Amino acid sequence: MSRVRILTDSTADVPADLARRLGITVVPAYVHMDGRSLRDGDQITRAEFYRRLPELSEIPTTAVPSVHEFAAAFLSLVGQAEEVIAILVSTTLSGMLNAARLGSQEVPELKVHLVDSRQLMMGLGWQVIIAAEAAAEGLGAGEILARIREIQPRVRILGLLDTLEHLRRSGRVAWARAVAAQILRIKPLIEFRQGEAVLVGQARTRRKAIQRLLEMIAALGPLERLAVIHAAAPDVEPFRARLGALFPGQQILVSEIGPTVGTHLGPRALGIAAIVAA
Amino acid sequence: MPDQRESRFIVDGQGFKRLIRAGLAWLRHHQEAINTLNVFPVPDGDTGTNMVLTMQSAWDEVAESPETNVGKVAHLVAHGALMGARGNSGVILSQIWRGMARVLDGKEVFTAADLAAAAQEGARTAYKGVIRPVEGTILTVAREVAEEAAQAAVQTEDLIVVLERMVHQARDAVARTPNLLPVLAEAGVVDAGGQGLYVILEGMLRYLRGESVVEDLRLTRAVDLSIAAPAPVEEGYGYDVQFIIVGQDLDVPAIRQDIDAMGECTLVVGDPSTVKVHVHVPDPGVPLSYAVKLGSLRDVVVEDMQAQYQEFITGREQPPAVPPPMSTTEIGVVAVAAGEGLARVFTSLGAAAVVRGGQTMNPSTEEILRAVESVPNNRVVVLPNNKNIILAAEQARDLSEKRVVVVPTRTIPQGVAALLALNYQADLEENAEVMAQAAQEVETGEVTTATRDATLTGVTVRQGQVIGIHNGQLVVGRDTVEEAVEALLERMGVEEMEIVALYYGADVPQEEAEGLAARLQERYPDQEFEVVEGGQPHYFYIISAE
Repeated sequence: MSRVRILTDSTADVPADLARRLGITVVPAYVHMDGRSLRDGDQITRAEFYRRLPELSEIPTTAVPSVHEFAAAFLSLVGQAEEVIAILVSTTLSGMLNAARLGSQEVPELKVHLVDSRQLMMGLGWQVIIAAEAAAEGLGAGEILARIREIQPRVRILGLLDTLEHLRRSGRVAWARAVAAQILRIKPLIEFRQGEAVLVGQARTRRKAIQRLLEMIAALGPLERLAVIHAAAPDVEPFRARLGALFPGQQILVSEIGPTVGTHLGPRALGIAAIVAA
Repeated sequence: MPDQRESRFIVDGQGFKRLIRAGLAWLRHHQEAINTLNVFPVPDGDTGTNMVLTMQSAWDEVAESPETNVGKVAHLVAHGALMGARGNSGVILSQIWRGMARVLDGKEVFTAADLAAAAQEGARTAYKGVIRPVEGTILTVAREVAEEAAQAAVQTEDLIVVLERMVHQARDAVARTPNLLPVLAEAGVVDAGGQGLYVILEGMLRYLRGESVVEDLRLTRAVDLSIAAPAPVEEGYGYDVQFIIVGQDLDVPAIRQDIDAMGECTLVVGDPSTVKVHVHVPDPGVPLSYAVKLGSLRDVVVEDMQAQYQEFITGREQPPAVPPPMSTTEIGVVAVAAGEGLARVFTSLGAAAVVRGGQTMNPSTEEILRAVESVPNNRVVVLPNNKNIILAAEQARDLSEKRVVVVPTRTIPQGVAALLALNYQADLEENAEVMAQAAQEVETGEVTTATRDATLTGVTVRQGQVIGIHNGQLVVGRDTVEEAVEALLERMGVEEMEIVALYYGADVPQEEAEGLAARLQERYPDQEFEVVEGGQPHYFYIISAE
């Protein structure tokens, strides 16, 4: 039994088998669609979510798990760990951390460290995985927290959207709202900086967007970690193969973007989450 | 009739002015004939019109000037031509005047020998203004005329004789242009720019001989190709003020700085003797009082912008511009486009300014320069989107204080592709490369009406037929627009493409464009078809495929 355990929320998109192997506790978020509230992961699969997303008349909304659910998750760790590091989606995007804080207060017997990842998707996921690996190595909470702080500035998320439509309708991104009168269909290239989507390029075709994306990724230089992230994209394998050619010997994880973020990005979004070399 | 001071042997500043006016008048008389000398049977940037507008701008610069020093008048002419230069021939013509002004600098009058030397420097300057000079164009005519002038000036001091020989040489050189440039021979025309230069010289000669040159200088001032969507006028910036300061040892950068502090959209260009000022200010008296202390003022124009802006927006159904998605960027893009729809496409993709113009109306150097100066960015990319606008854009680049690159896009789809490739993180030079590369990766189709019978690259078309042009090459002629579009798409290899955009022109109703796109979609189920209002004149469709 390791002394420290890692907890996160389902927007981290850590692949389920990896989360199990590393003993990561994942608290699922909710997605409301078609008048029903579904728990991410077990009540709706990601494949099913993206298949239905284009047909929905109303934009799905997402919800933070209740304080009670966080409390239950923390409670389940009592006896297994002395300390828990909870790394959660950026506070600029969600109230997840606050729900986790209140949940942790229900379980005073556990020492909980709360970490604002300032990231989402595998940008958060990598912090969680690296923390869990460190915990498995037997590192103490203080060392693990220092490691997370050290990698946070090196997290990069880059990707393409198949359409700007979902981001625009989400109303969350000012520049995407501003192009409401988009005349030509474009594939936006975006980067998440401090959890905020920034437009870094545009392309007319998916082929050209992927080409531009690969050029941007190559420009990141040597990478410590690399994951392909996608929202039911049909071209994950060829994209992964091209990344493999770009970074020979680099292990490449594949992570499917969850409904919470995916509802704003739209189906067929494709990109990477990486930690650049120090 | 020339007055007596304009002897056959010397010409002063006023005399030179009259020669310019005569050249302009005679050119205007032949404007339409020169316009028809078009290699391509398409409604295109009309060389006659472009040269007339360039000469008109040169004339406007000196029209009111009492200056008698011929060197000073030549500089005014050169400056006016430079700012008003439109189209490739207009730009080259402005370079000829520039070279001539350099030789005439400081001269009270010119003689036959001066004229010859000036003509030679004019031709040299014109060649230098073009990256890859092509023989069989206005350049060849300018060079041969200058060589002839040099020989003539050795033999006589009589300006009429020298000019006669220049005119004869010009006519011969023009007649030989099809021998030098096969595309002219194939199209059965002579070079239009060369013909324009010949006509200007002939007009000057006719004037010296006392023959008529049909003078009516009022007609062509009306062509206004202003920037597509003027920014809403800030309260307090109510007047558009333009004037020229004529003086001595004028400090252009200092004047620019002072004027800049008074208002917005400042444009201050010129040399130590002449400075052209254009500024938007709340009180027109401020720049005028300032300038009058520096020298004498000419061509003062004061216009109420609020009134103009109201006029502009009330005449329009659509809002003038969509806010660009990336407004806080450091590189600004200035694109040239004709038609409201195309202008909106560029602004929606982040262009900071759109200069109105294109195929049939080439914007002047000054108009492009003004747009470059008007955007808030200090680094600017210009997309000319037409092969006949590239040189004027390069002139504007050279005149601007900003860091400017011209990405030589030749079509609207190339311009869109280049704009999409803009990397706001990269530097200007890197972007110039990336954008030029992206422009090559899109296929352009253009559909218009043949303006005359023609056989080009093995394709024969009749006047009035609908023709399809693929990446600048005439490829099909058909009887209907739809047939031409279908045949053109086949030639463009559309089944290999992902996305096809049809920009429909001002003469095509939206339903018609949508109907056509629907039929094309059935025929090409794997491609994505997009219908976009272009609003361009003359061209039924501009098609991009990638």
